[in-house]
Amino acid sequence: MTESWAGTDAGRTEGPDAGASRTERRRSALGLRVGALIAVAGLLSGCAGFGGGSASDGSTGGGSTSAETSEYGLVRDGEFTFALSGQLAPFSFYENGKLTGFDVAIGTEVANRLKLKPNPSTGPFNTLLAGLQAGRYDAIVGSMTNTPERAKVADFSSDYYRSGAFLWVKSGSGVRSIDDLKDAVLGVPLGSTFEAEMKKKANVKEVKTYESDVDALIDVPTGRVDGAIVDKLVGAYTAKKSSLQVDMAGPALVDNSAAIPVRKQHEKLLAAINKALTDMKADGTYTKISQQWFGIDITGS
Amino acid sequence: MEWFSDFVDTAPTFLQALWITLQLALWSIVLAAVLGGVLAFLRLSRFQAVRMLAAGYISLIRGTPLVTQLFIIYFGLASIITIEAFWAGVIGLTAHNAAYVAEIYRSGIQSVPTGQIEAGRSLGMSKWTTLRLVISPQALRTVLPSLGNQFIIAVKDTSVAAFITVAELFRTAQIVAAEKFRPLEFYVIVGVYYLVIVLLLSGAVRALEQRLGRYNV
Repeated sequence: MTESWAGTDAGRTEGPDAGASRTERRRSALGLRVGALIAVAGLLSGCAGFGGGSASDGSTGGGSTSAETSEYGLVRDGEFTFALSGQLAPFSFYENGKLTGFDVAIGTEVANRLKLKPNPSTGPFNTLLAGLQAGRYDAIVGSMTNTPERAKVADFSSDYYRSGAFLWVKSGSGVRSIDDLKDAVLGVPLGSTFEAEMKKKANVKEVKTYESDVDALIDVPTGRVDGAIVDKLVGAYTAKKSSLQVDMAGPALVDNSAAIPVRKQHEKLLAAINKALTDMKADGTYTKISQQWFGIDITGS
Repeated sequence: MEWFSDFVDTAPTFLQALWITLQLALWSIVLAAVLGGVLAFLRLSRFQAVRMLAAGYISLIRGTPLVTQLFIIYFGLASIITIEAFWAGVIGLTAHNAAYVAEIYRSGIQSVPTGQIEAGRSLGMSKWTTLRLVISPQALRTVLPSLGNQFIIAVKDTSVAAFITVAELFRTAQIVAAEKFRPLEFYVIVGVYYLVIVLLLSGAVRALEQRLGRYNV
């Protein structure tokens, strides 16, 4: 139920969790049929001497030895299945029906370096970790911060970018920091690290949860919330894109670096991801991707 | 054992959310019962324009998903009018349920044999009195099971308000599940809360049915 409502735009290319398994089943059925066809074709070529073409090159962007990738314990053979929300422009979002963004680019680059076929999969942010634990994805490349609670259920790579959570308020409200607010209603994205933090504050009356950072931010100009806690980079991008009358206020509330969690007991995969990240930063690929999306290098921003 | 402690530990949070769910359900059911009556009345009007207007509304509402309607009211209309999440939920759920309730009422009214109406009219009753004393009691008895069914759906549909930030039961389950990374436990727990409400509601409807059943011939 969650997914069918919340994954409204996620359903376009990659269905959310429930959809994904359906697709998978369909694919494996298709695989069987394709397999049978190849077998028949093989027989035919044997008899009639079609010769030449080998039908066994598969469809994965191969090159890797299967022994190497089988050590990763992948959800789907030959593919790097990574999850993201698809609702977090410019990190992951849909543009003309196509999933794109900084996280998608990073995940794809990591996949390429692991000699695997990139397979991005979308679902509501708050369901991603549960999905990872359930073995639906190999990793989450979805702007997820490494926290002690999360580290209990997944192993995190090194950080692949740094940002921060800031308070965003209506333009001209005069609020300079979170301490200026009184009996405030604050908006936060569901399942984020800010929710618990904000509930502890004495001058925060209510914390409203939104499906995404963007949803929280666009409710600031309406006045239904006094402010929203939104990532600096996401906020700046969204405010500019949809010309929202909002301002960033005060110092960073939460340090918000992002890392890539993988399932527990997948050390080989984690090591390979860490190596890919290090290599990307060393050879300038990372800077290139970062420049493309933000105009700046966000490794340590 | 952990299930039980999960249930107990989160009970204060969930009970708060339960109250919001009940308020949402009560408001939208009561308002839909009234608005549905008006719609059914219009739907059976003598004037074709009025009939078509009511039929158009019902088709529009029944033809679009509830989640879409709520998103339009909460996020879509924000550029024109700002409605608090809770009231946006009440408005959306009322508008939605009223369309279904109207059709249920209509089926009840039309199930009363014309002879009954003719009998009432020939006894000198006005149209309004006939509706009140002859048609309504008989119609109500017929529609009660479907009406109860619709109200049960209405209770569960309040969960869609979670997606327009109303901190009702389902949204609370989402928050707790995301916080503790144990989706199975907390979605099952929230399911139990809904189940209890629905069982109580169906019990009430059944009792009412039995009471009205006394007039069965």
